[in-house]
Amino acid sequence: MSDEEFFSLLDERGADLAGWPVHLREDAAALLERSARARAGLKAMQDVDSLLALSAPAPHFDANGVAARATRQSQASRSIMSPAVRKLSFAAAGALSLAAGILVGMTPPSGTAIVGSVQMALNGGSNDVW
Amino acid sequence: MLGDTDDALVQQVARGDRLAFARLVERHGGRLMALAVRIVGSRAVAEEIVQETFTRAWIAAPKWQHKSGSARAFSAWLSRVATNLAIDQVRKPAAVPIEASPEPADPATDAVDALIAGEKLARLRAALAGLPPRQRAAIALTYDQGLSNIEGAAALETSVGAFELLLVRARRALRAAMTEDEA
Repeated sequence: MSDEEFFSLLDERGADLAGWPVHLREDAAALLERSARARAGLKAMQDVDSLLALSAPAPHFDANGVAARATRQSQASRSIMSPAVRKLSFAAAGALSLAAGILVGMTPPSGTAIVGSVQMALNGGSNDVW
Repeated sequence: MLGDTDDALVQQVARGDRLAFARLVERHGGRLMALAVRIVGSRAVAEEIVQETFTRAWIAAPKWQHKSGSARAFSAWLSRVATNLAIDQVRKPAAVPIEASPEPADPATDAVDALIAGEKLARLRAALAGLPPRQRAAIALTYDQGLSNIEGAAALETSVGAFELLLVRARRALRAAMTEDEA
C-alpha cells in the first residue's frame, strides 16, 4: 500500500482503522510502521474526527418560541377545514353530481328532439335532405 | 405505543393540535438546530431555518398522514427540508461568510476551545467554512446527526454514491487543512 492509497482509504472510510476490512487494516498497519507521511495523515484525520465531535453545535434553542411562531405564521396557509370536514365536502359534491346525472338521464327528450330522431332514422341516419 | 410516535403526533397536528406540534418541535428541533448551525455557521440564521422547517411541517401535516410509511419518515423529511433551506441560505449571494459571523459566546464551546488549543479548532472551522455547502451538509449529516450514507443521501436528495463522494471530498479537504496545521 502506498501513501496515496492510504490517504484515499482514509478519505473514504475515516480514521477509525478498526472499521476497515482486515486485509486493508493489515496493509495500513505495515505502511504506518514505515511512513511518517502516512502517520501524519492518520493523525490529521483523527484530529478532524475529534474536533468535529468536540465542536458539534449545541442543540439548545427556544422550542416554545419556534413552535408558537411556526403555527402563527402558517395559520393563514392552513385550510380552516379539518381533514374530516374536507372529506365530507368531497363526498357531498360527489353525491350531488351523481344525483344530477341520474336526473338528467331520466328526463325524457323534448318533442323536437323526438321528431328529429325519427326523421334521422327514416332517412337512414342522415338528416341532410331535411 | 402509537400515541407517541412521530406519525401519531403528525396526525394530531393535522387536526390542529398545538400541543402535539410542540412535542414534535421539542423532539426534533435540537438536532435540526445543530444541523443548521453546522451548515450556515450562525445560530440566529439557524433558528430561522428551524422555524421555517417547522412552519412547513405544520402546513404539510394534513397531507402527511396519507403518505407516511416508515418510523423515521417524518424525521428524515425534516432533515431534508432543513438541509435544503440551510444550503439555499449559504448559497444566497448576500449570505454572510461563516468566518465573518462567529457564534455568540458559548461557555461550553469556549471551554472546549481552550482544552484543545483553539488554534486547531479555528483551523478546522475555517476549513469547514471553505467547503461547498453540500459537502458541509454531508459532514453535518454524518458526524453531527449520525446518519448512515443511505439516510444522508436521502436528506440531500442525492444518490448514495454521490453522497459518499461529497464525504470523501470534504474529508480530504479537512484532512489537508489539519495536515498543514501539523507542518
